[in-house]
Amino acid sequence: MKKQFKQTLYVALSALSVAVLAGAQHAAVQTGDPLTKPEGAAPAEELADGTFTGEAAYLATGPVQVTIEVADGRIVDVQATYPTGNRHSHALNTSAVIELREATLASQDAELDLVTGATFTSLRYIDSLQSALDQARP
Amino acid sequence: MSSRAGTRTLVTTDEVMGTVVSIHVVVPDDGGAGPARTSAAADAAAAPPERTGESAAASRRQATIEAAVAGFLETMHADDAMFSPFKADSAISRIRSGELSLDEAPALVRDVEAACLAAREATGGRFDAWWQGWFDPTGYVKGWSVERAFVAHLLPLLAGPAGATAAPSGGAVAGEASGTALDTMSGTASGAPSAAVSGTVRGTASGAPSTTVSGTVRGTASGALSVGVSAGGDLRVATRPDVDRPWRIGIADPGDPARTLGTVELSDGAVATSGTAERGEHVFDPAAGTAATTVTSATVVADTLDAADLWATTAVIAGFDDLSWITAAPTRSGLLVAPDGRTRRWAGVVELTEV
Repeated sequence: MKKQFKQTLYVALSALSVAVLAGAQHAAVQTGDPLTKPEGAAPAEELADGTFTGEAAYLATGPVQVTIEVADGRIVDVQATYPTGNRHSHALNTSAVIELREATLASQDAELDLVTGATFTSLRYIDSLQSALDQARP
Repeated sequence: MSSRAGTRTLVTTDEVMGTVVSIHVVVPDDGGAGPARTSAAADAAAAPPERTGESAAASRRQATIEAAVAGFLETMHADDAMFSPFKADSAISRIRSGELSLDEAPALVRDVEAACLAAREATGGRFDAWWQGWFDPTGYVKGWSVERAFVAHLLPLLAGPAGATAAPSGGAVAGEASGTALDTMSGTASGAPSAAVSGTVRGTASGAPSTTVSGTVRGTASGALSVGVSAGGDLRVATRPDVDRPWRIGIADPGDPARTLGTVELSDGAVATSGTAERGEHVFDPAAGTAATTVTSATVVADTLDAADLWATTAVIAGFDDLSWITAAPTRSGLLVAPDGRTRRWAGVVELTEV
């Protein structure tokens, strides 16, 4: 997604860990639904092989940037860079990255616009993941 | 967020009322212009001076959207300041402390009081803003605030050219054929519907000078096709009548937030989910005086978010075994999930059973 709109985000530091984790959870449903997609189903849109880095998305504490690696049309790896220099954000990033990786690898295509019942949704770095996905789509 | 063919979505996120609110404005992928490009000839015909005009128009469209989003968030923050029980200087806190009487309270507080009285009546006392012994409309205010801010600031973005299609009003949105029932919740993917913008989309002519941005022509300046809001997982969406792009909404699995139980497609309306899944046992049964625990999550689709939120809360309080209230509730459809994973669904006033 092209970042053509000034985005605002005011996440209190105390809430950031929850927010980032929930964002990772949202990534799972954002990128597909394992319950309604038969295993091995072809992705709705074929991804090009290669490594794609999403545009940086900005949290209050710094940039978040997602990189995906695609092989044989499927995402095989996900990496995210998170704010550094803040002991809170550094501590929470480890589990957040793991969740993001698992969530993204578990389900591959962007199917949903919104999710009900998930308290924190649509956080910034989902946009970075989305823009990486967009780049991988020929 | 998701980038469907021919469209892109502008997302703004903020934190208000103790949760994250995100505003999603869908615009055509040509930079936000109103009409979808229908032919290459039209592009080729655009001379450089017109392109300059187009750029200025794009700036105006973006400014219009930004102003609407800012207005939406300002309304919600103002409501939070007035209704938060956690802020000592809020009207609600001052009413509770006896510093302010309801008679002297701001008109909006009286509006919410009246709505809560009506809600208590309509739900047979299951929803009761007074159950703790004082007036605490917290359970009602978020949905109410999102709804009124949405109608005031975001629906106007969808208004057609002056004199043409009017934006749908919040309370009078007719049920759309798609997504009126949670009956797409099967084990099979329903397939991604085409997101192509209808060729008959009408909007501002991209080259038309539109220097006056007033209330009546404001919508013509936005180029927006569709708008959606998520407030802590409660959703309100609306789509221009001439645009075929229903929102694809996932229903989070209360047992595993990384998964969804199913999806519902909705062009205009609201979806709210209440229950114990996300924030612990926070829904109290006024009659029993204890937490309601037999519904892990209740999802309700209704015309407006205040209604969807109210009836989702009511569904949790009524419990998994009691769907009797749906016959009197203005819901379009809904889903209950029990702690053991059992589900019940309904559409209109009828419970749906698995075939």
